[in-house]
Formats: sequence, structure tokens, C-alpha cells
Amino acid sequence: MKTAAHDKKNFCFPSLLEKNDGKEGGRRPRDFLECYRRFRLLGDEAFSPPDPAERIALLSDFPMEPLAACLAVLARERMLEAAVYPGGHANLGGEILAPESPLHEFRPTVAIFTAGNAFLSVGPGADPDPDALAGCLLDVIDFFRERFPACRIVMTDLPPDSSQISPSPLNGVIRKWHGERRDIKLLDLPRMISEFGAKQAFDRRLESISGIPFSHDFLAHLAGECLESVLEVAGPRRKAVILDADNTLWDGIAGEETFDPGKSPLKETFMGIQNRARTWAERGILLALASRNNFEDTRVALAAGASGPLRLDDFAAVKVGWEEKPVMIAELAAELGLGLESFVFIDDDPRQRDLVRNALPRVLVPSLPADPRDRPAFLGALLCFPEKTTEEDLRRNERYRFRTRAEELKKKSKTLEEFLLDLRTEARVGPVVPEEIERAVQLFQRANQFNLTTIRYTREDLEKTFHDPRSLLLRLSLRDRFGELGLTGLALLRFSPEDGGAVVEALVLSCRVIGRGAEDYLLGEISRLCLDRGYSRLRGIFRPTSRNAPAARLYPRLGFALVSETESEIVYELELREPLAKPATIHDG
Amino acid sequence: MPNPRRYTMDNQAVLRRIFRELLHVSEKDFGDNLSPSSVPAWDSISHLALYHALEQEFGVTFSIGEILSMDSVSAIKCFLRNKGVEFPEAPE
Repeated sequence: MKTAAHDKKNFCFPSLLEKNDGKEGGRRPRDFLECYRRFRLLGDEAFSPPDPAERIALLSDFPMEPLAACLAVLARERMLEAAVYPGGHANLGGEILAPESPLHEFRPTVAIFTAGNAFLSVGPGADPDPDALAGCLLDVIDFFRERFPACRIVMTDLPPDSSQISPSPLNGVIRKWHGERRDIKLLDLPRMISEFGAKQAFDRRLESISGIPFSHDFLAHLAGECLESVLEVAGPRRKAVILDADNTLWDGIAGEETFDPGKSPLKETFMGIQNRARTWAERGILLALASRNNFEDTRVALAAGASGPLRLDDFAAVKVGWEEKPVMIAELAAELGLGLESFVFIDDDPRQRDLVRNALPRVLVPSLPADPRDRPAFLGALLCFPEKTTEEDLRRNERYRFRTRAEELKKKSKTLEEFLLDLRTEARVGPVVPEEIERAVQLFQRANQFNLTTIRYTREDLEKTFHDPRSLLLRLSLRDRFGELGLTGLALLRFSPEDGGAVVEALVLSCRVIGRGAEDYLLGEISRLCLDRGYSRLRGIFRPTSRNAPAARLYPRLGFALVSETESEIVYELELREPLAKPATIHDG
Repeated sequence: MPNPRRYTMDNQAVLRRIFRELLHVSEKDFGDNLSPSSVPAWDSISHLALYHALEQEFGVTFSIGEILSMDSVSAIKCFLRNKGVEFPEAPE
């Protein structure tokens, strides 16, 4: 059977994020300068590859070259060979109207309209009526549709404006107009700006110099969002949706102390999302689940009456565990026997979305709105599914469920390690400083899954350790090629100078970093530190709970011997001759 | 305003790298008298990337007037020097 995880074409790790010239860390994928450097390297073929799959026209009233440069680079990273036409002229209407314009010669298959406010700026005495103003733009787009009937359209609504014209009434007109043109993909620009950070999204200097109303990095971000929309409207029709669970299908994280989706003020919103998923399934779209959590907690959250109408049985395939999402998705694809270009991945976490876009460029990864209340409408407007469903489609979910049970594969492969190496995770371990105490308390209070003893330390408890020479509170900070993960691990050591031993009284990891080997790195550092201080015996404690199974095997796996075992506590010990080996997947930061 | 990197020994090398990456200027062709008229890739769009790269790499912020007046490598160095970024005085 074809395993998508090993299909080089499908599963690749683009080199976009390679470290550059000794600058610290890798750049984020949508960093403008990184895109522009790559654009320059592409040379003449940047906008005109020899055999493009799509021809994308960028149409606006401000210069489109910088946005087009980013789009051209990012499209290649997503394995889309696209010719790009950087329009962007004050005379936008003229460009579309005139049959001899280069736009007509370009023959676009996808057009992206992203007008600034210049197009709508009015002189003294002009009509400030929102309908008339927005109509200027909308008439142009309607005319474009007539001229290029086969061309699919993506458009943004209008950015906020520093002039006297308030953008909101115009966007209201645009939304109303769009209601009758649902085949156009409308990108919610105000939401994008607010999620990016309004202050960072604009650059008045750039606007003064070039007329481009946005900052450099927002342009790169906008290019990424436009590209995802191009893949949505023009890419392969998607046959399956992979859904994250926590904070995507319900409010909160299944298994956490405070988890109670039935009492969430957002209950109706998440019910709407689950209903949307059921609608997809009824149309013959396969559903699959990929969640980083304990299986049992997720199963309970999908039980009748727990979180909404979805049940575990609604999913044709399920991955719940601690592998990274791209690994889960590649395994789901292999299990379902579908190519990765058949999938949409829905996750509330922007980091997971970027991970998947980079590792599995053929998967469509829409940018789910940060505010859950915006999500049901967003998901309802996705334009990536086949228009017509057949009887066969409708039976597909049922067939796949049967097949999945029959095959129930468990393929451990090099994939996970390759993936982890590619993340280029760097770690730093050091004593917790007073400024980090809030975060430390929060982690001790909240962590369930990778929590060796589940002792809920208070701020006072932790502050005491600062003044106790026999105690040492260590923190683990991680970063990877996507940026800082921050303080994601803690260990509390107690030293006994009398007998030369040290005890790891507590060790916790944030669930975000489980599965990377961070615990091995932390214990490696602890063992080195103990030896440096003259302690040659290290004890570890594990107190089982209903949630912390992922941490159960830590000490025996690293060679610790069993000292004692009761129902509530298992104690392990290791004679330290040399520091414990650190995992190959994490480097010193 | 971010702190400029005043005492980096490699400022000249960083400037060379920016010109190499964004404007395709080779190490041997790099010099103080380079200008938009002598560098084909130095067009108005590249200029937008150039000033952004200079700001990011050297931790400075330029005024609109400075951005519009950056018409040679020596002008760029002059603006950077005014912001505390050091370059060797002697011509290359």
C-alpha cells in the first residue's frame, strides 16, 4: 500500500527556514525579507515558471510587486508552480477594461483583488455614500467576472483607513454584495489585521513612499493568506477533513481539571462547528481526527451529551497521542489510502498549522479565526470541496470506517525522527528566576499529561525554594525553527548532602512539547548538574494519575532501577557515573 | 527605538551581504559609490526591501527623508553612522 509519509513528493521539509548567515534562529516562514531574498534567488522565473499550473493576477490600486514576490516564493514552498502577475495601478478599471492590457495577455486563472483606500479616495464634493464608493470597486470586479468567466476570484475587503472615510460601512456593502456571489473567496482583512496586531500591520512610511498601506511583514503574512485561498479555490478538490479536537471541536482541553464544554459560554459556537463537520460527512467528505491528548480523555469528550453532536464513530480514522501533527496526518493519509492533496486540516493553533504547511505542503490548511465565534461561518464558506456528491461519496465514510478498523495500522518509522530533527529544537536549562515564577506556578497547576508527581505547587512553595540551599527549581526553555516556545518544562530537585543523593521531586512538561525528547534533555542536564555538585545518586518519583500515562515510562526508559512501588508512588534510582545522554533531536541553545 | 548595533566589527560585511542578497552585487563589485544607476536590480521595489533590511539588521529606524535620500552606499553609511553604527572611515 502506498504510504504517503514516505512519498518524497508528498512529504517534504522545505528549506525556507534554514538558518541564515549566523543570525540567531531561523526566520518565520512569512518573514518579508526571507521571502524577498528567495525571490531574488529565483531570478527571471520567479513570476514566470516554464509550465505554470495556475496564473495568478494580483489586482489592486497600490503596487503589488512586494506582495507578488512573497506569493511567488510561498507558492513554490507549497509545491504550486504559479505564474504571478503583479498588477497594482491607480487605473485598476482601465487595466481590466482594455483588451490590449498585459492582464488580458496574461490570461489569469485566479485573480486576487486587494484594494487599498486610494482606489476609493474622493476629492472635495464627491459623493461619500458608502454604496456608491464601494460600488466603484464592486463594479470593476463584476466586470472582471464577465471578462474572465473561468477565472476564480479571491478578494479582501478594505483595510482601515486614516482618511475621513470609515471603512466599516464600505465593508458592510461588500459583504452584502458577496452574499450573492459565494463563489468568490472573501478574505476578512480587518480580522487578519487584528490577529496580526494592528500596530505591526501598518507602516505609514511605506505608505507615504510607495502607496502600500501595510508593513513589510504584514505583506508577507497577507501573501500567505492569499496563497491558502488560491489553494482553496483552485487546488485539488478535497475529499477529507482532518480535525484537531481540543479548542477546535470544543472549548478547552479534554482531561484538564476545568474542562466542561457543556458549561462553556461558547457551547453553541462549538456545537455549530461540530454540526458543520457533520454536514461535511453527510455530503460524503471523510472526517478524521488528529489530537495531541490522551485517547481516553478525547473519547470521553466525544461521548453522547459531552460536547456536541459528533461521536468517535463519525471519524473514518483517528489519531490521538503525542506525535506531532504532520506525523499524525501522514499516517492518517496512509491509513485512508488517500494522497495528501485530498486533505484539509482544521486546527485552532497557528503553530500547528504552520508546522503542517511546512512539512506537508499539499495539505490545505485554512487559517481558522482566532475568535471561535467567527469559525462556524468561516468553515461554512470554505470553497475546497467537490461541488457535487454522488451516492458513492455518501457511502465513503461508512466504507472507510470499516476499512480503518480492519487495517488498524501502527507504523513507526523514521518519519518521526526525521520530523523532529527538522524542527531544529534548541533547549536551555537554568534556575527559575523570580520573573518566571508566575509561569512556573501556572505550569505546575495546569499540567496533567506529562507531570511525574502532579504536586500543585503554589507561588509561596516555589518562592521558598529560592532561599533553600537544598532545593533547586530548574526551568527548560525551548525554541525551534518557528520561534520561541518559551518556558515549557520544570523540575524541582532536592539535595541530601548527608548521603550524596538528589531527588527529582517534580518534573513537568507543557503538553505543547511532549514527544520531542525534551524530558530526556532535561534529565540529561539534571544528571550533569548533580555530578558537578558531587551528587552521584539520582532518584526519580512517579505518582500515577488517570492522566499522566505519557510520563510513566520516563525513568525506567532512561535506565533508572526500581527502588520501591506502592499504588500511589513508584521510586526509581540511578547511580550516576556520567551524565545521561541527551537526545539527538534537541541541541544546546 | 531599537538599540543600534554600535560596536559590531562586521558591519561592513553585513552591508555587503544585504547588497549581495537583495541586489545581486558581488563582493568584488561592492563599494561606496554604488547607486541605483550603477546597480540594475536597485529599482524602486528593491529599495523598499533594502531599507527594511538595513533597519532589521542594524536595529535602526530611518525617517522618510532618509529613505528617499539613500541613493548610494556612502549615503547609507552616512545615515547609519549618524545612528551610531560604525564603519571604517577609509574607502574600500
